[in-house]
Amino acid sequence: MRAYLARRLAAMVPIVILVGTIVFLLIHLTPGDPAVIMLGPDAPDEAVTRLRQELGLDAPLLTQWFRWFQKVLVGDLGTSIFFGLPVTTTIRQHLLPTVLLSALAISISVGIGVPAGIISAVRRGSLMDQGVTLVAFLGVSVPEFWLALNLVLFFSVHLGLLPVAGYVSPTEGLWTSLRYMALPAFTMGFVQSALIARMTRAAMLDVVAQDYMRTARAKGLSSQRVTLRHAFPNALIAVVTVVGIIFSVMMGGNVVAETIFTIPGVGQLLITSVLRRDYPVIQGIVLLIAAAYVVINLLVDVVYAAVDPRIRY
Amino acid sequence: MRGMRVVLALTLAGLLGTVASGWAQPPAPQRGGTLTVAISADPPALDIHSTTAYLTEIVAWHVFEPLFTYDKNFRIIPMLAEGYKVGDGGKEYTITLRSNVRFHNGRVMTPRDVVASLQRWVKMAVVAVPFFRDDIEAIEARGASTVVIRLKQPSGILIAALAQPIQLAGIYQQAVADAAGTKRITELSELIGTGPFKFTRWVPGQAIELERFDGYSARAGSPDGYGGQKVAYADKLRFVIVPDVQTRINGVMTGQYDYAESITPDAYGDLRNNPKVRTLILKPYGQPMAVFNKRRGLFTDRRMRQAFLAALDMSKIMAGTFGNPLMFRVDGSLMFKESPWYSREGLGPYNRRDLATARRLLAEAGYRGQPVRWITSAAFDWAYKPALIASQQLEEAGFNMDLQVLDWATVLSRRANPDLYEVFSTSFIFSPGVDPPIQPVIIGPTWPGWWTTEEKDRLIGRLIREPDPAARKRLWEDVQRLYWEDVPGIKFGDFFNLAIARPGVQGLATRPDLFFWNVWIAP
Repeated sequence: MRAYLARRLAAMVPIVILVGTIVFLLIHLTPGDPAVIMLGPDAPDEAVTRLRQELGLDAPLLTQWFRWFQKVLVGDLGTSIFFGLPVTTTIRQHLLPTVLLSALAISISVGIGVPAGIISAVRRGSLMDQGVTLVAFLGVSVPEFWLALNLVLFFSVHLGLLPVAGYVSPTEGLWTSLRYMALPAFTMGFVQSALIARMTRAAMLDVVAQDYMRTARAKGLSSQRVTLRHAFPNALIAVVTVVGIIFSVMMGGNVVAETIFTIPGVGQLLITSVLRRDYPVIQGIVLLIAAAYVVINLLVDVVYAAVDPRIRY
Repeated sequence: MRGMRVVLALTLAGLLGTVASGWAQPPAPQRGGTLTVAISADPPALDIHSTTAYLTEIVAWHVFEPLFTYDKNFRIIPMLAEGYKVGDGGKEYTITLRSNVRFHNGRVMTPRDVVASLQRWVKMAVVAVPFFRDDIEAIEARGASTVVIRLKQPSGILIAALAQPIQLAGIYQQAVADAAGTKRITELSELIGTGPFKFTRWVPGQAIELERFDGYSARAGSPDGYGGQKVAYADKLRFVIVPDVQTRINGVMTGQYDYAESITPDAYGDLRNNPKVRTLILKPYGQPMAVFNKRRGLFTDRRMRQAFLAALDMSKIMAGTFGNPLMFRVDGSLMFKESPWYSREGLGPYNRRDLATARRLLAEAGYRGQPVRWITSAAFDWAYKPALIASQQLEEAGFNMDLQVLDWATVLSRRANPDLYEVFSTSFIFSPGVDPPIQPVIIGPTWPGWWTTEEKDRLIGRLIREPDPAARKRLWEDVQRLYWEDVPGIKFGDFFNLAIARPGVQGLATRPDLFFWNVWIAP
């Protein structure tokens, strides 16, 4: 197991280098000049040229790549052109909201999706199953921004129960923080729960049809025990896979929810950094996302071994 | 009995007085509370010398103050200065400073702070660099309260430039200004000014927090435009970054924010009748423009530019872009109606929509349907919609339009290359420092589009040097006449900005540049 983990973590290095290089090239080849954006569109050429020199943007692309890469190797992601702060600081400030939001959203989507999927598989063809299918269908089809705006309209503007938008760090009060996170987490969680419900249902249907299930029932076990103890663990691999994928995607930030709810997360930072051509921040975030994908996938594989004793590394 | 009558009369008078004053006077200002202002994006910096960004201005000018500013009629008045004298034929400006003005750390401002700040600012400011940086012979402290600026040639725009809010010539402490040079200052602890508020916290992407500076040295008298007496009524001033416009609206409606800027004009109709918000039309605000590439290609020929202008119906373009008639105005004056520079001189060719003339000019210029590349961006309504509507009108006149919709950063970088376009979209945002010669957007020979003609350069040269206000106004009118004859670009009209506030927020001005001193929260 330990050797396996080491091997997988070592494989991260080439992936991150490759992703970093591709992103570096893509964003530097895109037109747009961070110096002009920083100084304002009316800035005189002289000032723009001076800032470009200060930022090292006048050097050949290969030199810039090399300089950047040298620093990355020692954990220095550079300085944000826009904020003038270290990229690591900027990203750290935006990371906690995204992690928190993703964790809450995942909990909500698993909390809704897994039971819904199990019930609709066990009661296949029933009204309940059709209901779940319909809701799941809605969840997949409804645009996230539409759901978000309607939730705000109802819970915040009409009922005045929850804040419209914003972010409060849990260190400043857990309850307040949760109140601010409730609507965005539910928006993201509900949309994703549809996918989880469908995957759980499909996986459960595969398992339920197998011989050992009939044996379990024949032994006289209660249907609850048959479902939860014998069927569900075998369907879990598929569920864990989906949850892992969803979580990786969420870690890259959710631009829609973060924008509507004004959560200073990684997604918002990435989009605004692209518009500002803040190269070091874009590169830093993409590296982070690549690393998050690899690590989460690794975690998913480790969880496989935990839920299925047949899997050994 | 008689006494009784007197008492009754007095009581009645008192009652009437109370009623009358209740109607006539707004509630008395209150101290206290946190004023939360939702702004649409992060300012790129809080160092006000370092950028022309509007968001930097409206946040940081609560902290930094200039020597001069603008009154309610957009005329120059002293702020940290007491006054100034011009000598040596317009080449020596002697500025007297107010005494006992304190910085946030308690230090009293000295002429040395002013010298260091101005020396830094002239190396960084968009208005200073091309127009008088090289003309400055010296900026010197003299005595305990005087600063002298000596120039190699007379300047008619120095004081206007020192007063303009965008990239404000704010006064920093000498040590900070000297140490920073032209590098942007990012440390909040160094961003110490003399303003009514001081910085306390900055979380990029989230919020900028300021609190009242209790030792603020206010001017005597009453508030006047951007100057006069400033009072910080709110204990705290919080600028929160809220990129989504609907969220800004919802936040004000539910009381989470006290004020929100940059509201889409489309929302005006609904918001005006909503008792939970107050709408404020900020006037004047800006003008959408199209600027021609006069260095290379089709539009180096003046007749092509005149044909372009002749084809346009500005009323339709402005109405189609901004909708509600309260939010725009069709006016060809390059300087806004509210400014002392306003003039109707030379507006003849503006908003004529004369297809016959347009076709004749095109034929004379030998135009044979070559594509006209117009680079614009959907990031801003004022950029995209006029381009879209105008393109259709131009096609009707015989132009072959190639509308290229790009992201804003790409427009900014492409417009610097004369091989890549014929026309680009831009806007000129009103700033009370609009002394015309310092506006590169309209007259800049080195600004993209590159307007250089002998006559224009001569007029602008005189305008920069001429100190007499009446003579300067006449010179500007000549420039405006030339603009609409030579058509270096096209101003479509004026548009206004919409903001909303909670009804309890008092003392708000409907000025284009936001400020929250003299603003209080009624209980």
